[in-house]
Amino acid sequence: MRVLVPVRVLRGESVPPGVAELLAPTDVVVLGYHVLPEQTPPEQGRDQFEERATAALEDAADAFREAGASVETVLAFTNDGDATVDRTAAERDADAVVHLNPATDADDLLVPLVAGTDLDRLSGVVAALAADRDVSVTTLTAPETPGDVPSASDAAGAIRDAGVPAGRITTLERETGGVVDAVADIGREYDAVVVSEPTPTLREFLFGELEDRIAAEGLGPVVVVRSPSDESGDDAPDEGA
Amino acid sequence: MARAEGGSGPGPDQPVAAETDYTDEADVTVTEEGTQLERSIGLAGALSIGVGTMIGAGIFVFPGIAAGEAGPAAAASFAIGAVVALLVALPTSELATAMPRSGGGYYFVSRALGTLAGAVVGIGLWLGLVFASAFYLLGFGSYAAELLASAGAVPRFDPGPPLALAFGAVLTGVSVTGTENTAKLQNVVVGLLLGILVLFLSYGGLDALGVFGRETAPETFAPFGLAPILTTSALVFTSYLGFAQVATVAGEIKKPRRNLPLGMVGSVLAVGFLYVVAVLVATSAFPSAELGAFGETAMVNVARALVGPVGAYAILVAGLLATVSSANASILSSSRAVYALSRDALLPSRAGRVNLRYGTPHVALGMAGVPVLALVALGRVEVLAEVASFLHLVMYGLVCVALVVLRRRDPDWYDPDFRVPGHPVVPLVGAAASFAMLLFMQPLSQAVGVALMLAAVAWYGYYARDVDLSGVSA
Repeated sequence: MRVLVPVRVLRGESVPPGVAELLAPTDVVVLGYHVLPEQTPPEQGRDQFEERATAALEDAADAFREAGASVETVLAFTNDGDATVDRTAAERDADAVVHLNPATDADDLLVPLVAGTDLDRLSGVVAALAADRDVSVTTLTAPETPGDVPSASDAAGAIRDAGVPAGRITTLERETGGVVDAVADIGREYDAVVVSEPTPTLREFLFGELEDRIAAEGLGPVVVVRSPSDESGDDAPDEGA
Repeated sequence: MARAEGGSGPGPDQPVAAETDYTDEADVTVTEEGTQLERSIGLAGALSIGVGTMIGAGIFVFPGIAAGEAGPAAAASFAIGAVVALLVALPTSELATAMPRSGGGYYFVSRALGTLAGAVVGIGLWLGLVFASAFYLLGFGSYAAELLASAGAVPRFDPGPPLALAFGAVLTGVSVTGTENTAKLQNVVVGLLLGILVLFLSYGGLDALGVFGRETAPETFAPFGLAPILTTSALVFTSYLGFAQVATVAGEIKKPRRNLPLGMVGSVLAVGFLYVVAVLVATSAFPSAELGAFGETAMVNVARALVGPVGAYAILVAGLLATVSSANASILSSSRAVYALSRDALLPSRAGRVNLRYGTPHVALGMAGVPVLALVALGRVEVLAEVASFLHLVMYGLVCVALVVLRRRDPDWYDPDFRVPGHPVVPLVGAAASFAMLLFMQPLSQAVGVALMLAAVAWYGYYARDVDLSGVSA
């Protein structure tokens, strides 16, 4: 399984030990990127910052290598960070994109179920992170989640079928509220969150409401499972190459 | 102009004299070291840069001045300008699809014709955009003064130039410190402007054709003869400089092989049409002598006469938006020209530094913004416009020559996706037309333009004689 880990290298962002451990069983593509304002051509930023950015990116890559992951790196200068993350995820055909947050362990995963969840892809990613080691998985459902959400039992079944022992899977069903509130409430009790990309674009999720709340709550890393429709997005890089 | 010595470079197949080689994908440029440079301006963004830059001058500053000089035939002056711009936009498009790099015309000329021609064009582009910016800002000042006057505030001095100066300082300051991305806002502003103009000009156009039964000002088409038509087209050519701005951001445009030609040619066609209609509408509403007396804000009077006070206010607000967006786009493009020069060691590398705190190229922006303010303080609208055009036209002519040279030399790396139809006639006519335009300018503008070019040559001799950008020569 391949995951993309965007790191804002020149903002002092680094890889927390729990994230390196979490992603140890995967192929990690570390995207070191630096966002410049529109006044600055990316090339101009590169002229000045490439050396520092490369060093910071190598540090991030080393953290994953030491944990045992296979690692590739990409360095990008951009005026539009979201576009760079989306494009790189599509180009490298990443199964998931990881939003960095501090974490010290990787022992339990919280898997909130949102509208449009593709259970095959979700369970594949969860299994890659949890199947062959002692990591427990908790699915989370909430009744007021908008849209068409898979049931907790279906999700647990899919995750079990993908290779996570049934004994390490828990289903947690909230009585009221939406799943976003639920994550905000209990997310901090888990080491990481794995969630399907809930809306048409990754961008809206990564930088939308849930991300803001998770960041505000100071929770662990968020692994966003990409949905297949992503590749046929409106600016898919298929022309003029 | 100087031709680069053949065969002196490191090899015939390197498009860049610097050590970096690039691979251009649809949405990203990849350098030799594998570092990616994201392209984030789409077709709408490219058109909005082109149209947004040009429209401020052509609609909101020139119609009155031009009609005063050429009569209703000012419409022909604008049409001539559009044809010349198109003859240059086509070759520029071809070169841009082969070399989609920051710096636009400078980049093409320096790679095809060598360092000296590159230095003249690059410094000319930097300063040409500075003159253009100062000109747009004075246009803004006129609109701001008109707004004050219509609000009943009539100070004892002309408030236009001081307002232009203050706003120029604000724009420069914001471009150094502001890190909010404003491209979407710019797209909205340009969309709004186009909406207002299309409504207004459709109404005015129908009115001019007599649909609403109003008497139009009876006047011969070319009361002053042919010569003023040509001198006026040289004067108003500043209304077409924006497609060069599209080329200066060529390194940031998505799918450059498709969007660069569409952005440049499309924006010239769009504004050219609007200009001609605007002048026809204006000259049908007022005798041209009266329009000339209205000066920069003549379109406000035209709107008041045709649509009433609401129309006047709409054009007043549109004029403020348009002139500001033109000035801002030109300051940003000018700083990109400075960067392109410093990247190639034609200016000290300090000029390309990026501010650590804001991530903005503060030195280059200052080298654009500060001289703009000095020129605004001089306050000579027509001379500023003509010098801006002069410096751009020299570049345009050389860009056309560069195309012919590259096609003949046909190096391995030269593989444009868009090819100029009618080669070599179109680029040669484009070059001839660009250089011919220079002859119709006021002597003062010509003198200033030539002096600046000589200064660029002197700078080359002093600072950059050892720089070899002709690695592409074969």
